[in-house]
Amino acid sequence: MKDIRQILDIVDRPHLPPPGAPGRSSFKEWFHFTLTDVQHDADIIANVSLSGDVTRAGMATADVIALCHRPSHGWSGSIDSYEAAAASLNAERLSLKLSGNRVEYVDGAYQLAIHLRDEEFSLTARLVPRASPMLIWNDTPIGSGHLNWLIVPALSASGRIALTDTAISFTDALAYHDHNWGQWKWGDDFGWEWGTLMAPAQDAGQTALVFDRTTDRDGRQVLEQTLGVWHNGTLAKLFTRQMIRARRFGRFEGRIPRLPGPARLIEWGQVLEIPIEYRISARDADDWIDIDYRIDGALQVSVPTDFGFGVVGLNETVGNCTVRGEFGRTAVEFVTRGCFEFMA
Amino acid sequence: MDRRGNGHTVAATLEEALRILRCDALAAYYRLVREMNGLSVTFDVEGELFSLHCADAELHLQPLPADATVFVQATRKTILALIDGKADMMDCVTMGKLNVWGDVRLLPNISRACIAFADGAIRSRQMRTLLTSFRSDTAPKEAGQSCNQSFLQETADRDWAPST
Repeated sequence: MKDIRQILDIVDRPHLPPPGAPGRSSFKEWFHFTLTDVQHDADIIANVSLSGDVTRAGMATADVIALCHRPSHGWSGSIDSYEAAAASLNAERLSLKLSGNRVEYVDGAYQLAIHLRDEEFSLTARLVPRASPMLIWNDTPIGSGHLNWLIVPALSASGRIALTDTAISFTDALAYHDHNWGQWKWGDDFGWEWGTLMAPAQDAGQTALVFDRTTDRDGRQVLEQTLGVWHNGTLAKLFTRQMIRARRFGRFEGRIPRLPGPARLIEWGQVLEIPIEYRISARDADDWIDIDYRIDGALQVSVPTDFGFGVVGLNETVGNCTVRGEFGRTAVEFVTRGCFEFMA
Repeated sequence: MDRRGNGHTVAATLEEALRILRCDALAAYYRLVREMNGLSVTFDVEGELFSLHCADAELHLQPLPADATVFVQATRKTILALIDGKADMMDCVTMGKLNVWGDVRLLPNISRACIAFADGAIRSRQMRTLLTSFRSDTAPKEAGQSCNQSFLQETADRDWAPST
């Protein structure tokens, strides 16, 4: 595990475009974390991102998305936007500071400090990697642009979150991290679905699964899809393309808030495209995995499109997953929390 | 005019919002102008009366004209609920918290103008500062509670539940 942590110290770093690089106005990079504290029934999403031409002052933004879902309270959190020039980055390693927010990789662990400006939402956490990362640096096409990503599928998180009505301290919470960068335009002809889940207990061999699928804008034509299965800290199986079937069922009828709030004035009515259930089946020779994901919380992050007017919806969901399968003669069966995103 | 807190009237806030929109989101501003061209909208926000007039590709705030084509009545709380996404237009209209009078044929223009304004607003960072000022003038802070508290608190839901 020590090697893994040393590798991340090198590979998980910013990928800012140099001044004058073509397409830099559509540059995007984000650092995404999900944390699940089973003990307190809390699902947390933290995302710090840069968007635009970060080589010129006033031409890019830096956003902090901080969300917490509790079944008894619904969603807390918001989006804070900054001028990207306010962000301080180290080009050689992960050290991003933005106002009172901080994302760093120090001594083999991620250090996260998120503080929203206008709302009582404060998250501090130390996340220790528990599985080998996966780096997909192949300029995966999305629309007219491309995307790269680094996945850390399983981490152990300890820290504290303070909200308006409560404060929760957590230890060994399940966590996931990805780091995406590339150049693309929101609203272009692409869509995606991805999700992550981890077995809740050590006896499941710290099994972690990460699913991703890129599609056309309508979500009808699947372009690429993978399901990675990590077991005991290493990538045990990678299902790809025709090995995978994924399908939505029904419609989530719970309340789906939108962020930022004015997005509801742009696209009137309710968010209708979130399923109540999402099933993934993967088959390859003797290896197989079935995931049944049932959504119990959903929220839409609305991103202004880069093509004229309107927004693109990033539907964040949390719910319970039932996982069964076998890979490399290892059988797994467990129920856990999951976090999936559906682009609309 | 009604002046509160730091002196941000609704009219002054709207005037500043239009300036920001023109600076930060020019396309949205001109879409707003296109939809509003030739219209004069009179607002009544808790007794503060003012009018937004659009002519020659410019939006102007002015004293109440005699020839208002559209009349809009709302409270500051309703405006913030709409901005924060706690309520939508239909909720507000059916609950009597947002009243609009005018020729029904102008409704599509008003609707599209509102969308253009919101579209420009979420692309603008300056707008957030203005909103914070407006909010601080509107909602007195309660002890131990941020005035921009969670957008989904049950208290807010209760505020917006239809009265029985």
